[in-house]
Amino acid sequence: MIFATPPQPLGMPAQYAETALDLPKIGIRVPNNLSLDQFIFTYPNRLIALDGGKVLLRLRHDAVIEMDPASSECTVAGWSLTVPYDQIHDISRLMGRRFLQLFSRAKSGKLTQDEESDWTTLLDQIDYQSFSIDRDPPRYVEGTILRKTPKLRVEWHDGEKAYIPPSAGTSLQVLNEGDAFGAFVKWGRSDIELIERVELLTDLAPDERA
Amino acid sequence: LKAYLAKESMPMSEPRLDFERPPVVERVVTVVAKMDGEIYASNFDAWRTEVQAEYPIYEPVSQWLINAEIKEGELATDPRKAQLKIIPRFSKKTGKAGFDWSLRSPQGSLTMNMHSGGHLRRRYDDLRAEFSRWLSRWIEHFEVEEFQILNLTYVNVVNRDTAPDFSTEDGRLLLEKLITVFVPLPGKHQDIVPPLDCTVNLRIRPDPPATLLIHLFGVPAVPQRPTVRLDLTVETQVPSGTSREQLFEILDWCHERILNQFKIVFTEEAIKGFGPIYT
Repeated sequence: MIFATPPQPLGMPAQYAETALDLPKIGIRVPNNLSLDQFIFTYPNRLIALDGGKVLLRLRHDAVIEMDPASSECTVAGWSLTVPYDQIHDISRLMGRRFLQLFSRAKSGKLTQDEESDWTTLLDQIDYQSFSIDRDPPRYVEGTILRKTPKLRVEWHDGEKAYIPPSAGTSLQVLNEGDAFGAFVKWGRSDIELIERVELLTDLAPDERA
Repeated sequence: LKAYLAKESMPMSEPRLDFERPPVVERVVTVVAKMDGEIYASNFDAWRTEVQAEYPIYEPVSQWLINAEIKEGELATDPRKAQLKIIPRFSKKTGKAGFDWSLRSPQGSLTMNMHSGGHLRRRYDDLRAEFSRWLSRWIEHFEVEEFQILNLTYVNVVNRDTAPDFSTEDGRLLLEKLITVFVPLPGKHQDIVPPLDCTVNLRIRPDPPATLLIHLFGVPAVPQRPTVRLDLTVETQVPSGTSREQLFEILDWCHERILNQFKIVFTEEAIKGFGPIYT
């Protein structure tokens, strides 16, 4: 039988079984001459869901986790966040909570001096602009349907013209070309994400509009 | 792909094999697919709510991965290149209670584990049906467009409970009479004692590439009940454009490869000892 190199991308098949059968408990063992606190673990999950996933907190780099064998706790560097080893699976939620904690206190001007420093350090690690856009609620705007095919195009009240992505434009399909409308519109980072609560303004005089 | 699968399929008329004392304690299926990170992160909380309605236990797996490589014949570790991975895992029973059906859904893959053995008489068809139900939900939830890899694993456990005719009075397991791979070993010996750990990975199809992994190892247990585990894993690349229905044809193909291998890696005597039932 020939011994060959594995075909790409398959190498050794991954194993996913749960069956353990009385396996002895395995502690964390580290190579000789090293202690656990010398290890720097990165956590490659750079997206933290807030508001049930409606808002994403985007990290600029992988979070760095430092170990403290004496207390059996880990510290997320730059987040002033300490997590016991056995709760580490909850790290994303706890990072999200820590962010909201500092964000809320910053908003209401209640940051202590230490927290102010933590908040500044944390802001360096996240994309705050995209967080703000994600979090921004839909705003009421008015516009006119210029054409519906082949792509939905509208003119907004300020004269700007735009194509509406199909996923966001379904609520405008009930209107005719030339109809003036009012609606709550949510802008995302690159395009319109949602149009809802549409009103037909065509038959209303400008002073009767909301 | 369809023609290839048809050529290798077993005839439909062949009787199906089941056992009174099946050594299979777990069957695992995993599909790997392309998935957008933002869609995964945005939809995970809703997915978790949906899954926990049927799989209420949430015990994520935390993996502390340490980078290790061999440099000049010695194992070297760079402590600055370690990584933490968290894998969401849902099940119907806790890990301490031994699990009963579990589902893992990290970004880009879905794994379903079905446990059996003892009074739990479950078959491949049960796993297939449950996986099919959750795969549809998973595809819809995370907007999955392209499958990449499919993996099916059978975990077999052999000890005095599953193979009572192959144990000596003092509880030793007659491995040579049970298993055809890795034993017998050349030379004269009395017994095999722990550690026992043998693995071989076989290419079983060049295109699309597919491999069969056979892993035989001793399981630490009470001394009076020596136990070995024999895992069979078939993993295959999934051709681009494969539909959901075709994916299940490939899964059936993997299952047939495992069944065929099962009949080879265990001796005829062992298979008789498991109490075969043809239906």
